[in-house]
Amino acid sequence: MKNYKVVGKSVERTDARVKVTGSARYAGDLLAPGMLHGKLLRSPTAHARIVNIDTSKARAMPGVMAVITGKDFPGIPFGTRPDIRDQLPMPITKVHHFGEGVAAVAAVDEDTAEAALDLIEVDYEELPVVLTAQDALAPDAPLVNEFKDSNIAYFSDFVFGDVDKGFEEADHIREETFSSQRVSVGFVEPHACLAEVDANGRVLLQASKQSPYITWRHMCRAMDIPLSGMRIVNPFVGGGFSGKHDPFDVDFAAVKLAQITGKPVKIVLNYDEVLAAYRQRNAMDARLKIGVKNNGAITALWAENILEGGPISGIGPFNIYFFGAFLNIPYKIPAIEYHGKLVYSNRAPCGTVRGQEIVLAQFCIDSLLHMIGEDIGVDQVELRAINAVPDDWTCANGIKVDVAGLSECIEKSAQRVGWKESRKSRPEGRGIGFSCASHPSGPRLGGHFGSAVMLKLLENGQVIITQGATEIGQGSNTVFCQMAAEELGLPFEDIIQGVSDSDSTIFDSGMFGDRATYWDGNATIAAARDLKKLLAEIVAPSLKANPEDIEFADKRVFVREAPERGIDWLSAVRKAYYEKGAPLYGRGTWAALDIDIVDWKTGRGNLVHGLDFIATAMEVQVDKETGKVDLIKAVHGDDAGQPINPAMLEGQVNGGSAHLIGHALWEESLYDDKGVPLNYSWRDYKQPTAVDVPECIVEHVHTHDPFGPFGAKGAGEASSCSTLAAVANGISDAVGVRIKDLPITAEKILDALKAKEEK
Amino acid sequence: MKQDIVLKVNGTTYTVNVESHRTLVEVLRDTLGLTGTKKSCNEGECGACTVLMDGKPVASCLVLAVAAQGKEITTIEGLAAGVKLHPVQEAFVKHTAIQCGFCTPGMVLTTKALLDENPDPTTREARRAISGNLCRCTGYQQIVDAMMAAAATMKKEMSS
Repeated sequence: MKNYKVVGKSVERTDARVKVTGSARYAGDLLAPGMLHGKLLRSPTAHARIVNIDTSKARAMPGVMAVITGKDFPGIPFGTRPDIRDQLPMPITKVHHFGEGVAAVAAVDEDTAEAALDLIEVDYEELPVVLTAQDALAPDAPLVNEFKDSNIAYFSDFVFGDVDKGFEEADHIREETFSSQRVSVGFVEPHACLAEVDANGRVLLQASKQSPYITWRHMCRAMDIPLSGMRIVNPFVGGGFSGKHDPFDVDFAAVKLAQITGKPVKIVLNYDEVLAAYRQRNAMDARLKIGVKNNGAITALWAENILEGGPISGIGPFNIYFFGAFLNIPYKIPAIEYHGKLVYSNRAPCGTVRGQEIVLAQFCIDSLLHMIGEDIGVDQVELRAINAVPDDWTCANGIKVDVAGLSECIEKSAQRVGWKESRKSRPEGRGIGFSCASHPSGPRLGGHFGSAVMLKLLENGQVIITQGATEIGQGSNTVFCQMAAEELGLPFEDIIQGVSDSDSTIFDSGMFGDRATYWDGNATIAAARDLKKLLAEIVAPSLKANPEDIEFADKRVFVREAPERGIDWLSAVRKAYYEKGAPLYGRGTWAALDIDIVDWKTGRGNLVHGLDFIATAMEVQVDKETGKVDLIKAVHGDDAGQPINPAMLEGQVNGGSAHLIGHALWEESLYDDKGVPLNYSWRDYKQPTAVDVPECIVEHVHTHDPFGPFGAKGAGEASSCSTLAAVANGISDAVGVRIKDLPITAEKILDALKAKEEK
Repeated sequence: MKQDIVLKVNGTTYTVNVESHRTLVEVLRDTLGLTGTKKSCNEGECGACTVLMDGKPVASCLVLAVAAQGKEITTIEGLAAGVKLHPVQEAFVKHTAIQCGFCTPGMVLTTKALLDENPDPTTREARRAISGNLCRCTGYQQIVDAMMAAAATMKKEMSS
């Protein structure tokens, strides 16, 4: 393994001091001269025709500068793909879910804006609501989305390998149903934005955005603005977890109100609005059938799944494909059949959440694996080791695994958690659950899908890096600075992080799927090489060498075969600036051109490079009297290739797992039978606190990915994918009850224990 | 109705003219420009708006600004001495206890209050202390590590 100087070290985050002193500015902290404050009037009902909106009284109120509704937008639908453009900036003919923004006000202050909302009169004509997948698919179901003539928003169906033969060859078969609830995304910073329009009509949006370029594209389309007519500058973002990719009614409203008034308009949501009306994870209803040999080796898998996703498709079509695609991995499954449907409903719109729908797929398959393992008496660790994908493995659906550290992940987590010892003796109510998972390092989607990085060489020898990737807390900025420093042979401190600004940074496809480290990381290396090439051409003549023989290390520029023939980095930089008059920029782009644009409907194609792996062991204690679950310890054997920053990687693993512990045990966005949410405040919607999560241990399994930057793979989302089943399996191991419908509440455990006793 | 009130924040005395229903977080952020104090749920559940009032952590969204008169208010901006970070801040930086950073000011101030009162907490006590501060990024492990490290540093500084 190469001995790196900066890569692989837990250097201090570039933004740590800014954040720890409170000086980091988030969207809600921004001010602009003459700024107005915006507020949205929200639908009190889940599904209704908008008969009329009378804004005249609100407009007449002193201090109110503008009032808008959906009719103020051009009526152009937008969506993730051309075939699913099914949403508008704000509704025109009907509301689709509780809390949908139907009108917006800009006023001199927040109080005035709030008061003006009360003066807007909306006449609704109630429509029957679609709440569940069953409602959506009923023969006489009302249609949810006005751009579609069916409640099936998308589907994915595929068969890979000989499934019938696989089940015939199986010694044991088991079939089970699983379900998962609606959960909120749960970042702590609520949605916020500040929009301004200059005298040329050019829009500047500064908002809490995870993927500002996704927002930018959709907004320009739906507002009929040329792409050059809008600039996005990203402030610090208070967490994303896939809940802040696309533009929301608040962003559209702020821009429209700024266009109308000619003044900056800021809108900051209160968190109850976020919980009631913004992105959640799809509810799932799934059925899986698995066949195994006597030794536990999987011979075939059959699965069907319906995701209920709210009134828009959003990223849902990808979710429904992803669920099926990641049943193919991390276990060797020679034959697989999958039928997935994404359906519309009148609940809050879904995007996805940390780990995407691999989270749900893995909950199903690893729960089922545990169950069949118990049926056939194969040890849970051995069962996973037997089925773990190895290096150079091609999955049934064509996903190609280059390097897999999964077997070692399983071994390390089992050893550290004390699995073998626990089989000999353990306290009453104590158990250990396992789950593995694999997560890609950024898929190739249609349309623009590349990453780009620019390095600006300053005359003092330091380098400013800007990239399309967005820092949302995951630490990507630090990772790119580390990579640039490593490649340029500079100390970490000499790389300065620049601003994310659509006018100067190059566009990126978005911050999802663990792609930043991998894609933008490779682009960072390319940019550094470009800069070195430019500098080598300037320096080489004076060193009497060819530019291609110039090497960069330890802040020096020298001849590779004769290191004593060289100059220090700063002298080389000055040569460029003062002798050649050439300020230098290194430019790098990267895209995985050798992987396929997957057909989401048929599941065909090699989706990704850089599959990362995890094996999670969760030690749990269940109180049989109360059903209360205490999580004692979580051990994650984690293969993220070459860790770029081990401490930040641990933070990702710990965070992803803790996040999904809430999903496993108690988080749920509840609705009444009219589609009105019941618990849209943090008083009633419980996210894990510091006392709810276990001690976390990360065992790094170092591998070297052949395509990843410095051998790194994407990192961060794998532990989200392995946690649900690890918890469910741990509870089963502890008290012998199996809960297949999430969340696994104390009440469900008690009921199951009671039912077990009655048998 | 607006009224003049006197607030002592980070050692500085301010006279501000605010409506009596304004909360402390609103006045800190909107009137004094101290935006390091974050606002999210506005109902005392998330802890993002935590500040110290006479050394005790409070949710500043639940405190009326008028009720904060006569108290010593400490916000995140008041913790470092110039560029020298407070030991709690230093520990958060060193132990990678920060990701998106939105919960960080509240976490840091809650930790300071804990350690001022209990210089030698167990990890359980540390976890309990921050159980009113939500973090979605970190899983809390590295925050707890930072809290314990800060305790050790501060104890050492006290004894030397």
